[in-house]
Amino acid sequence: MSNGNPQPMIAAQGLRKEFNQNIAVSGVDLNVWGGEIFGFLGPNGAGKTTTIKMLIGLLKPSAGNAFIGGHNIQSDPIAAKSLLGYVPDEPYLPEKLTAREFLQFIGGLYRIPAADIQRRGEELLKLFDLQDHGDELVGGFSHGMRQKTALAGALLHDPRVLFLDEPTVGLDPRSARLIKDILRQLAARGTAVFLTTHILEIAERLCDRVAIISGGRVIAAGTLNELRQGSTGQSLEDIFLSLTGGAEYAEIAEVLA
Amino acid sequence: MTTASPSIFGGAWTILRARWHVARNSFWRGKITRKLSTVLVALVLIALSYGLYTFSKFIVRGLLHIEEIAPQLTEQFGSIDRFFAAVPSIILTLFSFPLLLSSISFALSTLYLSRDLDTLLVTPVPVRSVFLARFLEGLVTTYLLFFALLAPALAGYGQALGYSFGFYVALFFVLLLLPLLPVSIGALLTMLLVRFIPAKRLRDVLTVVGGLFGFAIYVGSQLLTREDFATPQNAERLLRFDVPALPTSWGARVMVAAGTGDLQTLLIFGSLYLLSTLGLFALCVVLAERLYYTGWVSMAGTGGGRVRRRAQRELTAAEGRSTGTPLGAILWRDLRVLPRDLQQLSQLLFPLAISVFWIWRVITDSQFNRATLGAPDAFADTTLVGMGLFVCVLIASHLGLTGLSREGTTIWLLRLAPISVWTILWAKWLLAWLPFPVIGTLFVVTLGLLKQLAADQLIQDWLLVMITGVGVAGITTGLGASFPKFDWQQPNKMRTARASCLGTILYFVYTGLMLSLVSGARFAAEMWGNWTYLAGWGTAIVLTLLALWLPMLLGATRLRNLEL
Repeated sequence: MSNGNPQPMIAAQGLRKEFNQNIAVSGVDLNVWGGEIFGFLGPNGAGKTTTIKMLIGLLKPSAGNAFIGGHNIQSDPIAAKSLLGYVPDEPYLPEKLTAREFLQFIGGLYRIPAADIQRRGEELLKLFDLQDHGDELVGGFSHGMRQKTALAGALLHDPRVLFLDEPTVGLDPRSARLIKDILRQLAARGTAVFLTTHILEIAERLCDRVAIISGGRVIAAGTLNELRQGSTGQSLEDIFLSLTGGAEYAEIAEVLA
Repeated sequence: MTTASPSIFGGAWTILRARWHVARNSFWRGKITRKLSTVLVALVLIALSYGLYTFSKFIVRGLLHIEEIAPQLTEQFGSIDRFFAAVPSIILTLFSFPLLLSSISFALSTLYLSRDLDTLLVTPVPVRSVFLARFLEGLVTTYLLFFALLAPALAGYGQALGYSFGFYVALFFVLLLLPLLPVSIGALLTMLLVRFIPAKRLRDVLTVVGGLFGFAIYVGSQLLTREDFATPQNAERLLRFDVPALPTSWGARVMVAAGTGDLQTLLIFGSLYLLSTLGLFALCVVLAERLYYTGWVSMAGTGGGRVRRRAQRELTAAEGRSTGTPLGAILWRDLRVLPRDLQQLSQLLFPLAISVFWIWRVITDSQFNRATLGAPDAFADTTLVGMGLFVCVLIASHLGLTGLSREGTTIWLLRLAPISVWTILWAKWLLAWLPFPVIGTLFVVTLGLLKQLAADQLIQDWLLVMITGVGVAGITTGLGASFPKFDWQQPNKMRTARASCLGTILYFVYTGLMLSLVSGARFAAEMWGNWTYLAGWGTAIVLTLLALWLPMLLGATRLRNLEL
């Protein structure tokens, strides 16, 4: 799915990562175009977070290349990073800054003019229902509030590419729905959204395409229809379990119950 | 499936066993350097113990046999026996006081701020078990210090006075029970305080109080002269620590009575000692059921604090121009956060307080003034610059060596942002250099005016401080970025040993070289002309550029390759 865009906004070519002779990710190739929501699924320890970190430059690949908007994240990091936003699964934020100060800090890092930081920051705080908490220290925020603050920071500079690692974990249903709506709007405006999630219903409803990683390798990729053709299951959960294994755990679950 | 709830002691044992496994695994699976350093510390402690035992025995035997001192003691105290009998009580009391202060801080961190408490307190384990386990865990280090340092010293004392074997048995049990007193009091105080003050805020306050306490000790050591100690009245003052009503005094009497065979005294004071120590400990455990749990649950509702909205709005517009660049944004953020984080601020408290104290002393104390600035001009200048540099280096070393580590778990924000590593490093360098223009200028100008230095001399001294600051900030920032630590839980654990050791050596060598180059050039100019003076300054500037560039280059390379 290219949406007519000649160049993918996210491109991974043969990404590989080794930690002390343990291969965490091996030969990941994928492309994500602007305007699509791409789901990156996999069991625990499959290599999802390692892949994301290689794509955004927090980890150096042992082999392969990662491109954001055509810029190599390793050799042209500033141009690549200026296009992307990232929300980790566990958003560690400066605890002694207020939410507004945090956004101002992020705005400074991305060279956003002060007036725009002010305007856009207030819009985002209002959108995430954080306006009344804008002058409270982030250290006193709940997990969900930190998640929303981190997302506000990631959206402040209007990124062309957005990476989210488990974006709805810890959020109440209303906030989770809000995030999903925001992601759809971003995609509609041409932003490439790359998200990982364990909640397959979210991937099923939200994602245009998915890739499934297991043991460091992408074992399936495509739209849901394409994945169904290659599998006996109808739901994404069935497809996921048949590809990654998991049906055998039903017996163990019965014993424990 | 339901399980029976463990007993208080069973639950405590389970928790302690897990802690033992953690300690054992940390050692066995740790790096070889850690194992070696642990063994080395153990050997040093053993050597120190033996040294204390020998020294104590030697001193007491010497005092008993030095004829010229003994008559003075007899005149002062009436009998030597009373003096020597008071020594254990004085030592036990003096050791217990700092233990009380530290136990409050320890109780706070283990009872309320430990990360595994959520897991422990939701299990069907009695709250008292958790409290008991944490309490006993806190005694490990105390026992290590008591039996490694205090016991040998008192054993030497007993040996010198010829006490019987009973003294050593009593010594063991007295030291075994002694920590229960201050630690129990500390735990009770902590549990009471946390009901009214949030635990994290209390920790911050205690850190500042500790820093002020340290500063008070420093001021005391500076203001008191040797003559103040060498007075006959001081011995009497020291005897006041032998307070008959205190349990530490009872414990001391137990030891002496056991050593001399005084059964009646042993029974009376032994019972009092046992009742007081074990009784207070038992009271603590009983009260923990209610006090501990209510304090812990009250922590859940405490927020992170609020900043006044009006001030925030006004500042945002005004600061926009300066923080619009990444370097400005990082510096502004650091300047904002430092005053709010009392724990980090307390690290700077000592050098800041010293600088104020020294300036005050120079202004008000003529004797100190003569000693520091009364020397010939050249030496006085060097002293003046040296004093200013020393204070600024203390502050800069902390700011620089912890520059990158201070980011902690939020380092990903800087690594993700579209900024070069040099932008990050220069922002950190700027913060580390800041003490020099602010405090360094204050020092040099104040002391220079007092010394009535000529304007050109004052400017040269000021320039030397500023330029040396450039190098010091470069060394500390570069090394801090080369050997960062992001997984710290307490601000005093932000530095790595490598950065601290290397940094201390390098910036003291560099500062010494700078002072020598410029002072030496001044002397040389009087003999060989002004060109030597210029050469000295030129060399100093080249040295500064090297001190700035090389560590920063290393830091940039390491930061560029940092993986998260």
